Amino acid sequence: MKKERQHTRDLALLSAYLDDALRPADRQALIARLRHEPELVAQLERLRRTKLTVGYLPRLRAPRNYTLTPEMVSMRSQKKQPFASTLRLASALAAILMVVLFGVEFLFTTGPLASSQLASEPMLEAAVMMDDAQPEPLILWGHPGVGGGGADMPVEGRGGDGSVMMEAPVMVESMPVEVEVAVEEARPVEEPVAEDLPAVMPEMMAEADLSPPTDTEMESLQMAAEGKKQMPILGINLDEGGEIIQRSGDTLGIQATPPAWRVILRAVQIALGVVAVGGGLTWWLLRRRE
Amino acid sequence: MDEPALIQDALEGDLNAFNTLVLHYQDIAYNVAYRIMGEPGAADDAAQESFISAYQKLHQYRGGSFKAWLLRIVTNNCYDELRRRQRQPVLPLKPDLPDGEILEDPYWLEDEDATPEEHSEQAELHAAIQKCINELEIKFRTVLVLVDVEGLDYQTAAEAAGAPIGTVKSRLARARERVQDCLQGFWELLPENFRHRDEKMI
Repeated sequence: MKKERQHTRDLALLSAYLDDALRPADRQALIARLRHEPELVAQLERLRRTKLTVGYLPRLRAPRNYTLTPEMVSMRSQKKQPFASTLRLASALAAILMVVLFGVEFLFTTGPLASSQLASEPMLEAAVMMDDAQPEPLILWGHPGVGGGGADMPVEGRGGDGSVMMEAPVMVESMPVEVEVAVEEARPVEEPVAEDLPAVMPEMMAEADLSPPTDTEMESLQMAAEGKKQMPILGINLDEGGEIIQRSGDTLGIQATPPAWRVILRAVQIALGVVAVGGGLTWWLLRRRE
Repeated sequence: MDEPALIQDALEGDLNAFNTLVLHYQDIAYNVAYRIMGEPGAADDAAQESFISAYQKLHQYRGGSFKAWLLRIVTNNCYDELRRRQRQPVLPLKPDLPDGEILEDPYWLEDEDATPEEHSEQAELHAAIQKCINELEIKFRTVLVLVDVEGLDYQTAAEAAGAPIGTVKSRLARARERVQDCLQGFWELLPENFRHRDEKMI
């Protein structure tokens, strides 16, 4: 390998020496070597004869004149079809634009600009997820044992003060009976609480005395007593066995579909890709036919 | 010939001025094209195409050696044509004589003083040299033709080949060595004073 490299270097030096194209220092060094290296002299001689032999080839004269006529120049201009060059240019531009669009999309979706500029989609998804994962407490109007102000007040059918809370939608969605059971189980908890708070009781009773049931409340109480339809609030329809009304993003009219700009962007990218590949292939085929 | 003035006139649309340049350079353009292409018909086409291209691209000429600039166009045209032929090989049409003998290309017969025997020997020698040149890779072939056949200096050859001078030097050295090896097979065709010492001993 080293010997071959040395041979190549010597060959270049000898060849340049023949053409008198060596720098003075290199020339002097080579002349000094030629005095002591006969193989180098032999190689120089072979190169010299080769150069002479190749130079022995005759200089040919042009078989005709190549002078131009106005027709030739104008024909050339017409012959040069703009279609192929336009096709090539369009293909190249489409490819570049497609790459740029991919880059922009990357920047605004997963890149550094994703959270600050166009976070609508992730925020929307997060909102839907939170909506499903953290349901609001359910308060049932007029359900026995549910709600109530505590103590010994008649509270049935008046709605609650949050003393009984259900985090139900996800857990009981397919088990409406359990909602009933859960509600039933909640009832006994109220009485001990009421008994354990005697100090509060007088005030609450006083408040109860001060604010007697209004007409609306009375009507509600009557409806409860008559066993009329108990209207669910916040998603539970007790007439349907406690079936939970879906309150996810779908029922709210919010869908986790890609935003319009992204769909358009994807369509543009596909169109550019078709132009780039199709144009390039057509241009290549045209060039092969020439 | 006032070359800069002719170029300036040609730039202003004077086709006659450009044709004066064409007449001055057409032999070297054809010769380079022929040595690179190895075929008269292809060389003729390449030379004509090169002058048309040169006229069209004259506004791109930025001074310096007009010959080098023109030869750059010629070599590029030859490259393009050779590449095209590699994709779609073309068989040259050679006129056959009635007795089956192939007619020599007329350029072999240009030495009018030579005897028929000498003509034949010269033709064989030229064919052998050209064959060895044709066996070179295009980049080595171009440099060899520009320097050893056309006698251009390294600077002009570098401009015409579109390569740095250092590259031209190394390519030329390797091209010469390869042609030298190739010519070993035709040593009996070489004139006495062109034969290598070790070849004479064989």
